[in-house]
Amino acid sequence: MNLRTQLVCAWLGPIGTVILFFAMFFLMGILPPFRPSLAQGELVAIYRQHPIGMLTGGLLLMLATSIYMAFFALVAVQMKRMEKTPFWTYVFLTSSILAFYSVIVAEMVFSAAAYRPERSDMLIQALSDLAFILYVGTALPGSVQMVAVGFAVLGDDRADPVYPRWVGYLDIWAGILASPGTLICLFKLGPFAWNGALAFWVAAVAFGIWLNVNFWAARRAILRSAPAQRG
Amino acid sequence: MDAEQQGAVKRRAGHVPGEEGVWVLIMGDMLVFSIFFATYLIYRAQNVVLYTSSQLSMQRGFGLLNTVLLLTSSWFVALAVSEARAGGRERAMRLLLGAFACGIGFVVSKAFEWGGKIQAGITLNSNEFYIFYYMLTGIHLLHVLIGLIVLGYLIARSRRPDPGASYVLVMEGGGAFWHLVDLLWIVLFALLYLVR
Amino acid sequence: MNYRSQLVAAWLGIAATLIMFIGLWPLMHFLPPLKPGLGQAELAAIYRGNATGIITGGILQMLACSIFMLYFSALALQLKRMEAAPLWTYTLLLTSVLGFVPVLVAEMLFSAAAYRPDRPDEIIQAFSDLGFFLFVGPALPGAMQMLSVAFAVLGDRNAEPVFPRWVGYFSVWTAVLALPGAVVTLFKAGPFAWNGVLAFWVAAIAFGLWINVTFWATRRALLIQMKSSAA
Repeated sequence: MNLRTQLVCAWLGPIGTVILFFAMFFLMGILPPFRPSLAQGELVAIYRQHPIGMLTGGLLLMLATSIYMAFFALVAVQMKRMEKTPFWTYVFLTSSILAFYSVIVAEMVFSAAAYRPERSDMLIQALSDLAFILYVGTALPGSVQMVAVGFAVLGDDRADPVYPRWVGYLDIWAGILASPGTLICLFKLGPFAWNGALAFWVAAVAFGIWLNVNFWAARRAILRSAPAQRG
Repeated sequence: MDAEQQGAVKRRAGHVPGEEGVWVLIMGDMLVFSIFFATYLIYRAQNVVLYTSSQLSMQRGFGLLNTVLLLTSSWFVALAVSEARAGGRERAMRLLLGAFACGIGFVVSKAFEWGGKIQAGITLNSNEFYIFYYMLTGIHLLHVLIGLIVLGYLIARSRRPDPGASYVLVMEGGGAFWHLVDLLWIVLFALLYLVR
Repeated sequence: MNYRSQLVAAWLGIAATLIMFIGLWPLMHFLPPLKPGLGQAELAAIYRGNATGIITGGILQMLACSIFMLYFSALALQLKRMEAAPLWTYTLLLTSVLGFVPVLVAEMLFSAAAYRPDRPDEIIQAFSDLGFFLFVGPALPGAMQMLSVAFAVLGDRNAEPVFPRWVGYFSVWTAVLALPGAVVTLFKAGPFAWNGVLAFWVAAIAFGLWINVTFWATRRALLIQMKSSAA
């Protein structure tokens, strides 16, 4: 397997994350997310006055998600080496999609909210709600995705494991910390709202750490396997 | 018998994609841009008045500056490639740096040009002409940014004491891409700024 | 080896494309797509007047998406033969789902728009906008899908390549031609709108060509496999 290709795909993880951050913070202004309790008038003003930021930011979210897929494929290739039958690998692949399709749908809903300023306030708010619910609320599939890697790492009984064992434990903890987003529909404020400390910030940081650690581990595994995989 | 079963014995020696792939890329890019240009011309023919009046806002100064910057950078790149062929990798690197600087200049100039228009209230959807203006120059700008990354790689490669066996091939391929970027701009310049 | 089943699966790709077309044109009358600039009242009248066509067409889109998965699995099996580690194979699988989930959600939105004729016009319009965003917009996952095939084919080091090399280059070009679809949220008219010549027609033709070329290559590869396993 071409190691340079694998390394490039590994780097797509951090690159996608930078794109995601840039889009959310600089373009869409959803970092931090809008307060659920934001007054309707204020909320719709944001969509009416800065549509281009929302629309181009949404485009970048779609880009980030698309290149994440190559990164997740790369992670899955490493996982496959850890297992005798690719059980957790398949769990990881399927839950990767389940976790990230919602980013694409969410960005389209954000875009729909910004597309026609003449829409009624109520409609723009409904679309905005839907977008945040899709974006922050799709938490459990993400948890399964992160935890799957952990189980593959911990089940790796080779003499020279593909990843260090601590990565497995970190993956499981990250997955658990990413799960509070599940509850956002029950709250309009507090730590479990879609802008809350637990449902958003802790989860986002957990995902960021998970991604960077797994990037590091994958890169390390690729470089270490270089002599064995030549030819 | 599957690929895996055939094993190491029958695998072809790996080869650098280099020349062949780059030319397919360039031909294809020209094809795609031709489709864009043709679309522009067809739309323009159906609404000549709108286009000619909008084109009055095109600042030829910017267009000329951009053209000079890219032509100069292409000249530097061509010189760099011939230096690389002659074994003068250090001079090649300096020439590439010059080309890179011109490319940066292009990006900065574009920022001012777009910035000025946006300040004046001319945005993406202002009218059909401006859709093409922003989208075509924007897609071209993306190519310039990719070209800058390519130049950066060539510079890094040229700095190595031993740039490797495929050095000349890589320089030629990267240089060809930069020339494409230049060529596309010249057509854009003519279409958007000159043809009235 | 289940070569016969894979061959059937390959043909299902052609079938799925036809089903998509039948759903889109004679049933939904969305070929060409509805103009973004269409007046709200006119648009709502279309959904009220052709509700059954739109909903049935939507069902056919769901059917097409579902059986496309069989096609992409057959394609993935060919990719797997080109690589030592299934990096692009996994990326193809992931991006195939990522690219078609939006189509699925889109047809549901079209159906929702048609479901209750007494809905206010602007809600029908919002659902319709979102439907077209999701139907035409996800060009980046689609391009990633085509690029997976491209990278796998171009990286194929076998003495007898699984697919001819030109299929790889061709896939790069269809991916590039498909890209303009990504910017549809920024426009209500012109070549980059969801009904525009570049974002819709060129992209749709590129996709259709890509399906046909990858089908031809898959079928050819399977026939060779069947012949050499019978020998």
